[in-house]
Amino acid sequence: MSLELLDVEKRLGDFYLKGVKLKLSPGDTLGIVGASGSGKTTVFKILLRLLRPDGGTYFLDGMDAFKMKRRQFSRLVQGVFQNASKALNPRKKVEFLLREPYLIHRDLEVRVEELLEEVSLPPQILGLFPGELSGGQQQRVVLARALALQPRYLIADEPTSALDPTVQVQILRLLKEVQRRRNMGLVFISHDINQVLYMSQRLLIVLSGMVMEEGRLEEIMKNPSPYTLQLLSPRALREREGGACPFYRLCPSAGPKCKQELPPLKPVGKEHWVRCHYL
Amino acid sequence: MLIVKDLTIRTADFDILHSVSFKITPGKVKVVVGESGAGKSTLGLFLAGILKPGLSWSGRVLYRGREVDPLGEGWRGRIAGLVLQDPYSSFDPRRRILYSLMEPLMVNFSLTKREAEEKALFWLQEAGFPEEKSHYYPHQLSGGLLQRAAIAAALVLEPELLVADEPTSALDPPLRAGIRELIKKISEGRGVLYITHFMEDALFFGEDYLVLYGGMVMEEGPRLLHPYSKLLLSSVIRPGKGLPEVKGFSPHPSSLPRGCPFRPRCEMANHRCYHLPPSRKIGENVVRCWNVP
Repeated sequence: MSLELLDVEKRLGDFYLKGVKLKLSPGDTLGIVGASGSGKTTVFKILLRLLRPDGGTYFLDGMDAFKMKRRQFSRLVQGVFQNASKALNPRKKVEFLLREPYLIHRDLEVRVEELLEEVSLPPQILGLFPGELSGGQQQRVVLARALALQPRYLIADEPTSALDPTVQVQILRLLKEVQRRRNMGLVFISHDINQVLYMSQRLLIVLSGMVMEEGRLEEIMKNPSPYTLQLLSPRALREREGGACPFYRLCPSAGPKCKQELPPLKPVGKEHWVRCHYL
Repeated sequence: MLIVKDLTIRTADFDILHSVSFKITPGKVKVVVGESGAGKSTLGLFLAGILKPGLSWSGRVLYRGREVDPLGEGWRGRIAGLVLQDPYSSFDPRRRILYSLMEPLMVNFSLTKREAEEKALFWLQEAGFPEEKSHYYPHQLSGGLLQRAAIAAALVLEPELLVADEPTSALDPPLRAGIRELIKKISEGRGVLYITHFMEDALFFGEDYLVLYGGMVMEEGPRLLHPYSKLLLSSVIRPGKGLPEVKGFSPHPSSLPRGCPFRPRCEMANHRCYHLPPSRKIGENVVRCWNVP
């Protein structure tokens, strides 16, 4: 059983996502990190079937995800969105929002109370509208809704970036707890590498629509690429004209080759791939 | 240089800021920290000369010993410059960067085109913006470069106070560090009010904090002693350290708990905290807490 993207491509105006490959098993977490505009959210949308890629395949437990019935797909994959307030219908009370999935999937037992308990929300919240909740509570409701169908894979796109740092750590903790308890596969997307390091066993590091580095967390941390190093400990960098390598603009260890030639994604360890001429 | 005394800003129904007092010294970056709803942005905008419709204020603002009205003529832009979170919304998309910086000089100081251009280029250079890109339009620039241009634009009239409201929040981590260092450089000889919810940013400056909670000053000074400041510090995720545990969330300013607003989340709270603590001097800090030793 696994969720898998193979050489997925997508062109959106000037933006071009190319050759994305990833694999996730239930119980594991794959973290996707990258700067804004690097393609994180495009990957998220493809994983939730909200965008159809121009090329490549998306396998879910061995089946082509884009050929599945909507109903079957929803039972396997659910998403948690960046902006919780926009992911909840403002005119419906929380109780309805949590019951709604069961109206479509009538074969499942309705478990609204258990869901609330699982995301540590008090039952009084059922009678409130999303607008009456704090940002952290809204995100908990979004998570509870995603869990209603007992998905095998959960895809979370910047689930905390709209929240205060104090609330961020609460949501991260909850997400990890829920993932362990339910043994789900989690794709965790964030621009904050420290969050991703905490959440994940595997990393996918993207920039300008390209995979810059991929692999097991421990291997990457032993020998990170210049881009990853920069994400890990940001320092002031001099900006220069762009080159072939997407990180050439800011890379402190770039050579002349990096300007002319795009480095290929090459293996540097057992489970570690890097796009860099000098590693 | 700038002293704010008992500043209260209120809507028709509730107070956003409760009797806030502090001072800004040139050469030191005053870092304002707190969660959403603490009143950080309202405070920053007010000092930059902007008050949203429907809000009213009371209190005193002393600038170089004289009482001033930040909403009055000649304050906004001239004495206080403002840098916002999103640099793309800080510029007229139809104007080239250089022109956006020249215009206020020509309008306010009646400089000639050539003088204005020289001055604008000087400030762009100070802000680390490459001269050859000064003829670009905003959409042709990266967020990091455009934020540098926005800082230059805030400085072009040579204000003595710079208000920066989360200037790094919309930027990617590798660019954040550069903007922080630029702000530090600018603070030499100028007052800076730097609003952030990133504790990493706050610690980078780390010499003069203003901690807000529920619209009240919990702490002011060079150290972080208040239990709320400690909670903010603990929320920083550090590699290899696991995830910190943080209790509760910040209250909406319309429904503050009785007594100390931080009481329900505070580990040190006891019966005295049902009464609002006064601000006490502890070393160089002013702390609003009954229990900090």
